[in-house]
Amino acid sequence: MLVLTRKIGEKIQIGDDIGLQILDIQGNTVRIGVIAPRHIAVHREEIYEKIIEENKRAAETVTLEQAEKLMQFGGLRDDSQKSR
Amino acid sequence: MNANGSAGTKQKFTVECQLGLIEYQSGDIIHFPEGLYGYEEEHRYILFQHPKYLPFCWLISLDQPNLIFPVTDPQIVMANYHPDIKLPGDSQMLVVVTIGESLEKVTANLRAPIIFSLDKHEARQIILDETQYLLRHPIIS
Repeated sequence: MLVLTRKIGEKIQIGDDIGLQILDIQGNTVRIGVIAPRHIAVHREEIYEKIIEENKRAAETVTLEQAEKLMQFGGLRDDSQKSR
Repeated sequence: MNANGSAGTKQKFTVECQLGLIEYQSGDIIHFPEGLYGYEEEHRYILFQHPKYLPFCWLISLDQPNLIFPVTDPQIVMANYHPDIKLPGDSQMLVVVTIGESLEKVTANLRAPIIFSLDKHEARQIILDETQYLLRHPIIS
């Protein structure tokens, strides 16, 4: 891992179009500004990992049996809305 | 690929998956240029809707047909779901549903909605910065 020391207001350039700027430091919290093209998704690592995990949970549980379960739910909704 | 050229969107195809044999036309294919999170290699999906499953429908991968995401309209899960994002003109938002062991455990991922650009047949999943939208929002509360 490349390790760089930066002061508040200083920047790090990554390639041609990604920049990081240290905006503020309060105790053990650092605020970082990220400049990147729109097509580059930038997220806190922990939420990114959680979304991947949740997508996997959602996809892995799909079976016909599970779909039937959701149908019961659809049925409940239809009754309550008297749409059928 | 098809004999009568211009009739491309009318040609019928089928995909066999956990939900059975699903018929679709090439015009139904939705492209996910970046894939979904964790599934970056799968780019082509269809949205399978059937009255018996409403208000849920199914995002079925054509590249890997047993990769299926249950999805629903976030407004059904949370009436005042208004994330702070700019939606393209002709677009629709859906959220991924996780079916747990029981009906009470069904949750919707309100944190990472899928934005469909209907005119372009394209979609992408985004991650919201707004922490009030939960990764596992219970559908039955």
